Amino acid sequence: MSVDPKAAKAIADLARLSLAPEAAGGGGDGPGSPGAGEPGRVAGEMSKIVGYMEILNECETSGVEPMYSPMADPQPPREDIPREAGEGSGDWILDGAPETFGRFFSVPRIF
Amino acid sequence: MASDPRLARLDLAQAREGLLKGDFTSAELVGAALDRVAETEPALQACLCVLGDQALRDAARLDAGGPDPAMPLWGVPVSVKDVFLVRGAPTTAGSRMLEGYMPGFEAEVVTRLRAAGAVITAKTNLDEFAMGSSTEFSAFRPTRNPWNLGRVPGGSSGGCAAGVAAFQAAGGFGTDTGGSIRQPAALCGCVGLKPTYGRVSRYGIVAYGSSLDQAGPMARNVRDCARLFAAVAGPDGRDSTSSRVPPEDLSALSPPEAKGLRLALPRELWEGSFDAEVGKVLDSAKGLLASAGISLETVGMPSLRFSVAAYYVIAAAEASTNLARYDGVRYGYRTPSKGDLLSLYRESRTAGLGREARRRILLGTFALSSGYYDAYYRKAAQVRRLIRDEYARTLEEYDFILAPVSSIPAWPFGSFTEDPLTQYQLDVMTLPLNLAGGPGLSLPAGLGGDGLPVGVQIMGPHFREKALLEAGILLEGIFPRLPEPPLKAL
Amino acid sequence: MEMDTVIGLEIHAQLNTRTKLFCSCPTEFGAEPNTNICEVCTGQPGALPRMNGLALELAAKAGLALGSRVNESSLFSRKNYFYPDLPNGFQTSQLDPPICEGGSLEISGDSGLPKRVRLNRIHMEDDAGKCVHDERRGITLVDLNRAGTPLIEIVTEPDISSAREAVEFLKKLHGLLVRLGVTRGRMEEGEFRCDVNISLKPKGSATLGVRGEVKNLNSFKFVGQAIDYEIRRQGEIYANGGRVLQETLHFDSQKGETRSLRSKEEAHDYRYFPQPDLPPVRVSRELLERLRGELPESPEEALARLLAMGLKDSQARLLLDRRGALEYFDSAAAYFPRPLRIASVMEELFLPYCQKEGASPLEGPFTPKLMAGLAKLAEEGILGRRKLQELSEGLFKDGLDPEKLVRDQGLAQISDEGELARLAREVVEGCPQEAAKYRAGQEKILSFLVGRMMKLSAGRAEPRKAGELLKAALAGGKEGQGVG
Repeated sequence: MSVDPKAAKAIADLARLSLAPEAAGGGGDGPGSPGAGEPGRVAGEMSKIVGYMEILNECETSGVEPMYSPMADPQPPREDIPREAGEGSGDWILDGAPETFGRFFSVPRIF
Repeated sequence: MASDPRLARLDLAQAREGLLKGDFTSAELVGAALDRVAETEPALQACLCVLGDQALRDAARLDAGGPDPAMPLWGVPVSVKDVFLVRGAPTTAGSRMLEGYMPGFEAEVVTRLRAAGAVITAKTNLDEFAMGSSTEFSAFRPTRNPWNLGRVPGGSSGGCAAGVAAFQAAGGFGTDTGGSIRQPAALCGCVGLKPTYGRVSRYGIVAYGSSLDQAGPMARNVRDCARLFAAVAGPDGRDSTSSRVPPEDLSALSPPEAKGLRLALPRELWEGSFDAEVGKVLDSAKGLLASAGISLETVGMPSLRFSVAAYYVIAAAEASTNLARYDGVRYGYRTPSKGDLLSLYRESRTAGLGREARRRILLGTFALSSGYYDAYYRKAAQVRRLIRDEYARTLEEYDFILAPVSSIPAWPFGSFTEDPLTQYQLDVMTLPLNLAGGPGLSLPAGLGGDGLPVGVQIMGPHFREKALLEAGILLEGIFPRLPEPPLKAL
Repeated sequence: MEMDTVIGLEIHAQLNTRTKLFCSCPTEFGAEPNTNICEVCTGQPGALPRMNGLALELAAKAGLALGSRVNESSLFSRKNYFYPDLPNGFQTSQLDPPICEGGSLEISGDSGLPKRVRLNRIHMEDDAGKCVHDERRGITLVDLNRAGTPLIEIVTEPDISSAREAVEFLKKLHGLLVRLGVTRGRMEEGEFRCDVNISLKPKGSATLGVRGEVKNLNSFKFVGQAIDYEIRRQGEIYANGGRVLQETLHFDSQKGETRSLRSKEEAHDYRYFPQPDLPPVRVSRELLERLRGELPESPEEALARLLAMGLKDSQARLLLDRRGALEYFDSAAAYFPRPLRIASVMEELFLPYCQKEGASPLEGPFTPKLMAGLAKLAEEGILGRRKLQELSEGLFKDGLDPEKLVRDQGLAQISDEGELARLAREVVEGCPQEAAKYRAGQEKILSFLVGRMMKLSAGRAEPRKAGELLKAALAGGKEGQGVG
């Protein structure tokens, strides 16, 4: 299966990522690295990787129960006891937020 | 003040003996480690944050109370990969997204290390969010391999491996999602343990693939690894996936008899193509084991053929939603441009997350999306069960599985950064174990003619780390001892 | 064309826990913004969820009470989407399998016959935080106090046919869940809210029409209004030959109409997958048995039990129909195990009084223990029917102890036969004319004599006994004298 640029764009939209080159950069790529890439380049790269994943189809798995985690004898549910007052105060969380208004996190208006 | 350079080179057992006898203080030992960091960092770039003052204060506090034999790591310097939250230190996970993030809580591993008396000296470099096998995907800088500064240290725990190999700390902690402890340990010539999934708490560790991630120690020998592991292993109520299986007593380790020990060598991992130098070291390692009387038998584990595909589907799927929280709203990088909510999300995430992280998010989003879930994610989870079952069956018949860690030695920078699929395929030796969930120990098997270390790994039954470590001690004694890494570009 | 209405409900009930679903933050309502938050419920890196065991029990209990199948093992999944009130970028919910499947609740249908509304499933999930839109500043403010609050979502099959049925179902469900302690159910605080899926189809047609989904209704009244509005709106569209769109609607309670919430956003793809940070939810057989033991009996079971005690059908149904009456009855019967007597005192005096006062039996000052005492006085004949009637209001109103009252005021019925016989003779002697008439065969005159005797005894004579003794006195009174 191949991922066309339109599909790549749709996936990026779901993931809240931008594929447009002008919106990229300034971040994790570091100096000198090529841009994040336009939909076409990303689509090509994804097609290659997703194409490789198709090897999975060669594996006979009918009747095999999927294994989602190797966890063994995990923790039981906890008791319904509130944390102590003052313990784990959320103030450090607000203090670390990029934008707040009063005691709220703030984002651009939705409606 | 120049410290005694020999102090930094002590292994944990020696350091402990000296500390308890009062030959030197924790402050002196930690000071020596920090001096070594200062000396080697310009070449290695192994650390994202050195906790100099904080570490010296912690050491002085320990010294004030006097040595405590009840604390198994009393006074020794330990580094942690920069995915472990440490109070009072920024945690970046190697990402611009978290640059400057100051956590209000601490990783359970770090809390246990402190309780055991360890002093945290540095937070080490990694591929962003632990996604990579070379540490080149760190958003800040690449780490260099102490055996050849022109080569990568492996990854994602490359900073930890390079630092431990170069005596920056007696030991360190990394995380292993698809080989991120074992592979850099092998490429840097040290020992790394990936414990059984659920053996070490994941609380306070920045997540990559939640059903695959497992924290573990890296050190310069197997016994040191065991000491570090023993200090952190065991159930933790804050990590629901942490196992209630009681931890083993690791206070006395005795290697098994070589004769009668049966190792399974999966054909699918040994019959691929290897770099010539790596191949030579592996052949000689097998020869040494055989002449020691260990039985080596080739076995078939046919589902391993699908492991790279299954792993990257599952890891990317989990990563795509683990990284959804990085949206610029509550913490982390937020785009300065003033747009609507959608552009806040898109711009913050696109600029704050690096290329490899974005690539895996896209891949995982695809694998979970409507219409593809069954063919990719669910299918991969089925293959995962087959792989787990093959491990279990093999380990019913054999004591351990023996495999290479990497088919190539530490590679030159930039070799695969434009070829993600090839880099993914390089993980074929290590990632099946994460799918299966079992424990694995990587240790040096020798040095290639190119001067680069080559590692092997042994893998054992779930929650049986003790036997694995004991076998590791045996193998360690059989394989040649590595010299000190030169810290030069060759 | 005549149309049928097809309605399915999705009810969100906040579970009655002290802490959130996956962390130990309190669930109290009305706290300062962003004070009940921690690393887990704000989605900090490295934080991991830990399931609240009580939430699991409450969800299973709801299922048991509704006749659902409670799964021994169910899974949490991540439901992925971006919104500022959703800290992890996913909601932790249950897709497949949920904790409970199937079940039903009976209502009285529009046809007049009882009707079973089937349930599709009950699953657990965590609530989102709250967004406040500040129009003036052009920003949206996010408060995460509510983020992580435990909810169950109860999904019905499309078995409901009218606003009346929907409202009755919801009231009944609300009452049941509150009684069980599954939810506090305070609707004004959003603890019980409802999404309504509604479509129309030609009468008798098997295929469902296109549905509208009215979101987040938090009062029974709004549910009724929204449904009626939608029936009209969709009906008009069909009548005009138009097509109903499948869409999400918001109910404007001021205008009493629904409005489309159509957004520019792309279609949702929630990418559900099993939440790897949480083990499967286990409900052991032992836990299930314990929860079953904690369940109040079903109305059917209660009716059978009451009838087996010998209560009349009308009495039993009365106890079941009046809120709190059955619980009151059961605790009174625990003090004084003569259920028939308690039932008749409740039927004749207490429940009519409660209804008149608009009070719930258990809330008033006259406790079940006092009722037990009162029934005992009646049972032993110490308080006669008339006296009982006369005293009841005062007792019920002020919560007086009937036994103490009887003692203090000497109200006990006279049961000493000698004393009664003396009174009878006194009456007969005081009314010679009436006595003569009686003896002449006018037996009806006896009731007049009984009345005199009651008056003379200040109501403390037991009327039936008084009649007998009067007859004896009229006949000559020999036995009476003999006793004296």
